[in-house]
Amino acid sequence: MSKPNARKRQRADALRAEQARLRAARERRQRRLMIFGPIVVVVAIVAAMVGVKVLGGDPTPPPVSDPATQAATIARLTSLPAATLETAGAPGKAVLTPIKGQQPLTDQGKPKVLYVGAEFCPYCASQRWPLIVALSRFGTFTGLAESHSSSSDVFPDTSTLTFKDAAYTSTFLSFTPVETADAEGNRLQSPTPADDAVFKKFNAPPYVDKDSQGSIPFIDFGNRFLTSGASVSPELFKGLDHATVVARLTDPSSDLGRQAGAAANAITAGLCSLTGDKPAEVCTGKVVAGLKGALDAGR
Amino acid sequence: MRDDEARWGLIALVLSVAGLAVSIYLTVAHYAEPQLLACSESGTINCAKVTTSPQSVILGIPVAVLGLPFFVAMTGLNLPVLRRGPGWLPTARIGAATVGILFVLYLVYVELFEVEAICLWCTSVHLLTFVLFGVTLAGAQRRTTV
Repeated sequence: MSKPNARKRQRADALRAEQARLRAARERRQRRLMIFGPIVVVVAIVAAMVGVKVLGGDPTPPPVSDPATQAATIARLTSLPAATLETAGAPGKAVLTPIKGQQPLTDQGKPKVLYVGAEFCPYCASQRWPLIVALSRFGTFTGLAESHSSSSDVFPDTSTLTFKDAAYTSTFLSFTPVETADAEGNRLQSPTPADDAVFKKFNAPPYVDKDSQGSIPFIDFGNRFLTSGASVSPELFKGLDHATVVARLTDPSSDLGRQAGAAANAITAGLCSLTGDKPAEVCTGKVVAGLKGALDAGR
Repeated sequence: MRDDEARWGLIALVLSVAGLAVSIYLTVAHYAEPQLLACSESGTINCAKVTTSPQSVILGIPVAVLGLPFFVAMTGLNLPVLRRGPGWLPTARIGAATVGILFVLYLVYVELFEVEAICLWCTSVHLLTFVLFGVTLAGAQRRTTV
């Protein structure tokens, strides 16, 4: 073989080797990209979500209505027609848990209802609605105000009314509400030592499940019944403002109206049990009387 | 390269079994723990808040339960007996792992922006799914280079 031909072949071999090396390098890069590309995309998406969350700040709580609208809404809520509540009927499961063999809880000679909750708590938010409806049939509230549950908890911004500045007058009952924290979780009110003792005693086994010990909302009805947790799910109130909630409450064909109305009837039956069926016009209603009969039989 | 592929396959199998174990725990916890309509503990890291939130159920199926078929499938696809199986297996593994990681991204979004709480057990499942995704991709690439 001549020298020029040998050189040509060497150059061709070198070129082929270089092309093979480049091809192998390109394939290695493509392989790395196929592996690390999707991983980097996933990490970037998670990092972006965490970044938005950390830098996004606290959400703005929804506004409450002007005073006149609030007053109208509260007036409508605290005077729901008896016929509407009768139509709502009885709840699908027991709302009140009986307490047996305890000294009655009273205040100035009247059966006492003790509520312990917090403004941030969405379950307290949903429980206040039927409680207010029921208590309004035995007395009069003042100082109720629109509020929302926490914006950063489950069921955020559930519409409700706070008991923070509320007062209740009744010839039949005494009502003591304690809102332990505001919507942001800051300390608000503390129960008296006596009320705290009631809360700690009856919000623990054997009166409630071990899992719900110490949880809120907790309501003691004269040491004869209690509720631990919400009787109606906050899910029913999702996206509804206060006026709309009250509108639904007046419509027992709606899920909210039926379930919250039924819970209010169950609470009303418990209150009738405490007051000795007074006032008669409340306690002799067919649904309430039936629920009270079942409660008394259970005791 | 065969050794490499076997190693990636074994890692994927171990991750799948670990994910299956945590999913079984979360499923049992979902059904064993009562659905309380009450407020108790608070804070950013709160498993109860996550596992009892409305978002913990999709189309009536608890999210914890949805993890089970995913990790059962990944375990099956990574069994050593299938290592020299049909040619579509790597694609099936990548497809399943991609579905898993997309679902994890959705769940991380839900935890951060809707439930606003983090569940450490759920996070462990998310991390296992993420590593499994990477290992599946790496294993598939090794196979293509054999």
